[in-house]
Amino acid sequence: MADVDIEALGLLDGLEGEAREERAQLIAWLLERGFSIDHIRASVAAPLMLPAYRVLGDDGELVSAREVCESTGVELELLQRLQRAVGLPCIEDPDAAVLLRADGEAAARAKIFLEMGIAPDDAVAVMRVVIESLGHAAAIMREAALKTILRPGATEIELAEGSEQLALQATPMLGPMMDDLLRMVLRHSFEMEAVNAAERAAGTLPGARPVTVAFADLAGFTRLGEALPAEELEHVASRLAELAHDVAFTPVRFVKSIGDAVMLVSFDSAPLLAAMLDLADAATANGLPRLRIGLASGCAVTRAGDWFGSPVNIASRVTGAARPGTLLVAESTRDAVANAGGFDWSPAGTRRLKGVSGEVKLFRVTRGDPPSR
Amino acid sequence: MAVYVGAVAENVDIEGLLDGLEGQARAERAELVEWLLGRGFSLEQMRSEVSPMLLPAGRIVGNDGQYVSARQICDETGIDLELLQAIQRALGMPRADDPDAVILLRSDSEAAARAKIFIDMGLNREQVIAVSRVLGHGLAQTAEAMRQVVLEAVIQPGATELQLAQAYEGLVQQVSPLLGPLCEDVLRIQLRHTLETEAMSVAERAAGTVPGARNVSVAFADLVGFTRLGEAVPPEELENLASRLSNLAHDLVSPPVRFIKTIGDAVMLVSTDPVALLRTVLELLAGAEKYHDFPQLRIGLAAGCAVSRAGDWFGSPVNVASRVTGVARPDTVLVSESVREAVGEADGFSWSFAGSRRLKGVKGEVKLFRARAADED
Repeated sequence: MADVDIEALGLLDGLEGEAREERAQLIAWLLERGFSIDHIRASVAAPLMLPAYRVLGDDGELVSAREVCESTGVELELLQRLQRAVGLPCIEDPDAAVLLRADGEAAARAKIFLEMGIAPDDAVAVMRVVIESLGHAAAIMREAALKTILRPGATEIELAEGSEQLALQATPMLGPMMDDLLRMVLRHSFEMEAVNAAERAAGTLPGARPVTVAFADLAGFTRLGEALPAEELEHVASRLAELAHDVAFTPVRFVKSIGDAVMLVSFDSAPLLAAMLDLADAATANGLPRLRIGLASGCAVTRAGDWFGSPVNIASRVTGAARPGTLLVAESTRDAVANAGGFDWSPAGTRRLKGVSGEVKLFRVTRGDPPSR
Repeated sequence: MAVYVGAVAENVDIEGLLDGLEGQARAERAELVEWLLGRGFSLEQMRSEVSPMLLPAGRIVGNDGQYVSARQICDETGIDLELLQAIQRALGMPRADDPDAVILLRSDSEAAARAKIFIDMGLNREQVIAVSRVLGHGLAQTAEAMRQVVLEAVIQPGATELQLAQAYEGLVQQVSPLLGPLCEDVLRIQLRHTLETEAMSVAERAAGTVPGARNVSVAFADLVGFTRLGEAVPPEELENLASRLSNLAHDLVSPPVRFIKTIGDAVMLVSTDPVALLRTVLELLAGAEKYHDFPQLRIGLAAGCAVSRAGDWFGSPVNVASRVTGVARPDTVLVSESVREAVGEADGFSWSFAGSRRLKGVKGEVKLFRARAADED
């Protein structure tokens, strides 16, 4: 303690009173536990998480990009692109030892795609999707874990110890869990997606297919955002996403939530329409603002779990045209659902939708008599 | 080959598997069925699959045709039934209303039961379900991206069903043991990289609450005329444009600016540092202008208090930034007064007042400013 001047190193800058004292205690404790001053300094934002991060693989060992290339066999240029894809800062000098070894090696994992004969561009694209989607999972895991250790008045050392304990408990299980869950989702992705004869003959992937797309939008969300604290706004949006997940089961797929809206898609239009009516009911039952729901059908392509094509854009515009508390469908969906039972249809006029040439015929749908058996 | 297939068809009734197929397609399917039978797959398994071709690859990732009931899994793992069912729903697995029906794939149910780790860590039921939902959704997107590149690697013009089944099986066999560790590593990176935006304040720790609302700046960059384009070009091309925007944004973003997500024809960025964010979006605009055959961008920024949850952001600046983007002219960056004030006199920008506008859902008028890079003519 005596030979390290915590204060002179700027580790207490901006802290005063009790916070300053606590931080000094935390740093002394970290030094005792074998963390180097450099390691502590590199984590200005959250030194109290260091013990947990060490368990999760951050041992403070810094290497240069070139060293990672040599140990993993990935070329420098690709490694730099992968670094960016993984959300790590750009490495200007490939010989500067500024890269956490664990991070560099994780990025280089993408090598398995190259070995399969996949183009570097595609490998980088896959890593981006992996990072973006697992980033959300990591964020919610971190939030939930924090909640379990936080209690009023906890000191920094207590929090550091608590999070380290949690990380120790979780770390042996993370691997098997990720492996099992990934295999599960891979299995289900096989089920959803056959490769048809024409596609095989052409040697291309499944291309655009007819699907129905639905959006449900919380009416008045921007206004709500001006009136409610951000936390409450988040609750409202999360609740909608939860309810949407609950109504989405095969063949209906939950695609994503987009702030105040959710997007669902299905190859089969009638189950999606039924799910959206269920969602409207669930929103009412749970005290959410009224939903505006819109559907459209047509050809779209899927990429990395998202969908692109005219029905996506039109469904979004139809949603914008729906009154709060109502469900509107474009004529394309009216045709796709055809005579499936259980729905009541009423014409809602023809509308010009922004970006769509000509007019689109719209129908309002409510729950009808149950289908006859 | 035809003679051989004929011989099999006499012994085992595979006719039902060839329904609706004719000529070459029928012969190919018969050849595939024959091969699958030889590898120990039952006709029943083939019938229950959308694409029997993918059965061998599916077996490698755990589809062994073994089914269990929900109650069996509960007995084995110690999870209570209600929670198991909620987790299965959260992971997007098929639901079984009858806990005693033997209809759940054993490997699926065991994967769901892995969520027990979160209970052991002290998370409550709602948290376990919420984590499962986000994790399941994230992994589904991951698997989808991987499956597409893997399929692209094996698919060859004119390949028969049998050749594809074999190639796919080989590839999945080679790669699947490596995918789990890859995801694990990525998750670990993400767990480690708490951004400064998420670090807890002293006050939050004192109160014992998780990080709450932060002062951040939010930006959206939107492809102009995307709906109209969607009516004119095939979906593949539309996807390509959206991907290019996302790639460009990813390439330009580095801490303290964070890439939050792509939303169809738009990308969303957030930062605690408004100057860094504004610089990044100006680079994005310049980058898009350099692209040949690329739609124009409109970009909007707003600042204020927002809360981060599961990697996404919520709060007034998110909504306002989206509205500001909606009124920005093509090829311009428009910011709300909140951002203009936060950036202050920082170097590198030139400003012009773009008037006060009423934005939908926002009370009163919002003063808007157009930002340019200072070296721009």
